Amino acid sequence: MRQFSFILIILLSIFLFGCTSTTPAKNIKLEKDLYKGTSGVLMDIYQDKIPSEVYEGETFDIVVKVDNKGPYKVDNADLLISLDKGFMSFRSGGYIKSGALTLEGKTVFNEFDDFRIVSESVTSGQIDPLKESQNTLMLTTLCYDYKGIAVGDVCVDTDPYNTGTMKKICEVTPLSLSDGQGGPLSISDIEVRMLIDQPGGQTYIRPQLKIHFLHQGTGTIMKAGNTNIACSGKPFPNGIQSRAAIIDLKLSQYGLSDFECFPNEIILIGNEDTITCTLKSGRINKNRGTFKSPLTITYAYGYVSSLSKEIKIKKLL
Amino acid sequence: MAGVINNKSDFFYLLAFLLAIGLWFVDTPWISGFDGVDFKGWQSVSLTKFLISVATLAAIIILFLLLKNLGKFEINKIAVQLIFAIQIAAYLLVGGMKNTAAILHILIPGLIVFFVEQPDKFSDDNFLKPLNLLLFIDFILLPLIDFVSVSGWFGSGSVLLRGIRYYAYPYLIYTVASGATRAENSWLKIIFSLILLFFCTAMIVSVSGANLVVLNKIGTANINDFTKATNVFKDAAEFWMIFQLNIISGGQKFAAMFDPNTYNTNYEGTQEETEDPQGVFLKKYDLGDLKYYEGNQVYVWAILEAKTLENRLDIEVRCTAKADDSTEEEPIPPIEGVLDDKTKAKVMKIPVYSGVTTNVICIFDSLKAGEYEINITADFDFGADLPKRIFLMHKDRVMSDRLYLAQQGTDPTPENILIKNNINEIAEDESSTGPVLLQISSDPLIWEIPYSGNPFFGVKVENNWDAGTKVKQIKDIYLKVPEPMVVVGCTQFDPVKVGGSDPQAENGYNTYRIDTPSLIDVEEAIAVGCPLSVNANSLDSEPVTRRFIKAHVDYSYNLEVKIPIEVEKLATI
Repeated sequence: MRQFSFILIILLSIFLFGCTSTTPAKNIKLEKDLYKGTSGVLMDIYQDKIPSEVYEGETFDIVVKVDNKGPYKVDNADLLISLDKGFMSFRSGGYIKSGALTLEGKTVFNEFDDFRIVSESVTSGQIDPLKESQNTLMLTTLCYDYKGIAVGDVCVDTDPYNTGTMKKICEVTPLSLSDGQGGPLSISDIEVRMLIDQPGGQTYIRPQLKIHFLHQGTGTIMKAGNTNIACSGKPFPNGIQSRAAIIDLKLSQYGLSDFECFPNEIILIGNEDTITCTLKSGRINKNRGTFKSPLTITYAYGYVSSLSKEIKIKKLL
Repeated sequence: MAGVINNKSDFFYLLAFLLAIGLWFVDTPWISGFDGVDFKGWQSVSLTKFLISVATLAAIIILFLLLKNLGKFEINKIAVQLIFAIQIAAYLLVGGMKNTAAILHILIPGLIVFFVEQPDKFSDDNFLKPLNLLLFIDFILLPLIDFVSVSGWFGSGSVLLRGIRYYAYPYLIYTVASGATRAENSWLKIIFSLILLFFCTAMIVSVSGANLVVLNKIGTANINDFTKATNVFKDAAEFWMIFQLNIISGGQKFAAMFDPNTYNTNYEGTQEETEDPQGVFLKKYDLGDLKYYEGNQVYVWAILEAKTLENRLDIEVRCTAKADDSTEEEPIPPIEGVLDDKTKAKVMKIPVYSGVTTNVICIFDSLKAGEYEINITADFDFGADLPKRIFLMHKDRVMSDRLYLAQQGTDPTPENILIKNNINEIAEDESSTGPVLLQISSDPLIWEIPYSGNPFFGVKVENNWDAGTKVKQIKDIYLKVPEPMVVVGCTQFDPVKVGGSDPQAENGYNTYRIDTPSLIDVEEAIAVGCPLSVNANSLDSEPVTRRFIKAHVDYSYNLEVKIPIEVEKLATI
């Protein structure tokens, strides 16, 4: 029996301690941690794959990589590659190619940057009989809809002038979001103020968010839903360029419809714009007490970026 | 109520209209320094127009306050004349009125005012109201809208500018309808009715087109039957706008006939020096001997180098000895030298397919004692090709890009628009070839489509070698413009469109030949300027369309080197 008890103790010891890790537990990555950076969807022409000089009639490949560095899915990207008509053509014919792209966004389970590599065979044409060489341009344009999600904690102070005796659990501080939200348009910081409103004798608190937007990319911001226009020769209808919109805002149990935002559209001037959103009156009673709540702001925009590459066609002498 | 206007007042109206029409034709030269591309210039002109409008408005208000006892029709007349006077002064002083289209809006009421046979027409509100309204819109409201939209105030932008295209229709219709109902002559009634029908159709088409443009911003539209049907209206609207622009450009073209700068043929293109020029070169020429004596063979030699790429080059070499004592009064004909001692040929023909280096030996069997100048000449036919890249964009797109760049604090020049589109390296065309420098220039860096007027295609053919050489003859100049562009005429020369059988005809290009047999012995340069007709079909389905315009010139060239020699008498013993 003693022998059986000894074996049991040994087995229990293995069972109890065998599963215990000797290293500290790793932090679990939250979804909000993905919403960082200012890259968005990047386009790159593989310079080393494309010769700077080719001879007449030579066939070579042009390779363009489109890489979604951000966390948001892109399902309507339009990639346009154009060559100088008459001097270069795609092997399959024509001098303009466009194609739709879909790129997955990052998730907590998949932090891999989704990408597509577009490769096209190009044939250089004949240059003029008495010319030794001819410089040509290849131009790539990428148009896509993107969004940004800014996440932070906001202290809703129901006694901004400290008239009460209750100890507050938090203080109103501005939110700094300088790491970006994963795309070229980002919310750089949010100023928070608490306004007091007293309709009908009741005292309500109206949190006011002054949201600063900053464009940090090299492309053009446009209103979402216009990729077909941006990647075409069509004129831009008025009010598309430099425009974006807040499509969702959550603070505590309140949504975008509970806020009054002015102006109602983001119009970048000098790469910056500010929108002020104030919670409508009659939502947060002063008696509720100071509390801290997560804030989530989602905004949508379209983006156009382009790159060019010069290729010299030389006469085969 | 004021009575019938006397003949003197009629004359004032007529004079004002005639002055306005005349100034419209000379509008372009007055606005020198503003080419419609420079955004800051645009803003500056808008500001000028704005200030003039404010001054006009203030003057009218003061006038009404001072002369309110005169009666409304008299004041009305004076106000209209005041508007004209201030605007005409602005034209003359600062070139402040750029709205050439405004004259169309004045012409129609002008027709009614002067041709409707109604004795008391100037006492009739129905006549004066549309006229005054049009003048107010054209000369005061339009500059105000223009200034606000260009300044980007109140979030305004291209929508206001686009809207300007449509504002005039209701007033034009109102005015013409007044004319149609009041004209006593039945022919005038028919003419006004036709004009009315035309404007009504144009307004419906244009406004429906404008609405579609606005609808587009909502998002991607599915191509369904409704969209297809509305696109027909949109296309028709675009056609109407181009038609309007052509009316305006027609007037500008007429005005340009009186402006020498518009058809300036002195085009300056860019061309880099080539490292490996083609053509023919005579090098290292020298005397064959240290001293020449009478009765002995005289020979001089040179090294001829010739290079060509694809086209065969045929060179003819000759040499002559010209006595120094030959004068104009007593000319001594030059003596032809022999270039081949065996065949005694006086012309050496050298075909060149790629590159050749050869000796040229010029022999004179018997030269008398004296001083001579030996000329070795090489004649050859050659050509030069040069393409120039042009950028085309939809006008409204350029405008929105400019506003975008201006909002970003960037100077919205065409170069910056291209940089925004990441065309960072704008390749300069390299030198084509040899002794003739071919240069192409054109109007602005970005051609805005639909183009207001006609862009210019300028070609300059310049003698690039200066050491005693000349272009013997320019045989022809070819202009190649990408389809569907067409050349609509050239200064001094008549271009002829060539078909596929011409060696210079090229797929995708409309090719024009200018025969220039009269252009002989060109010492320096000649230039040709040709306006092009460009429409929206030239645009590709990408933000910036790139095309090449090309020029080719065929010419005969004469290369010459001169070597002085002295032939001495043999000393006698």
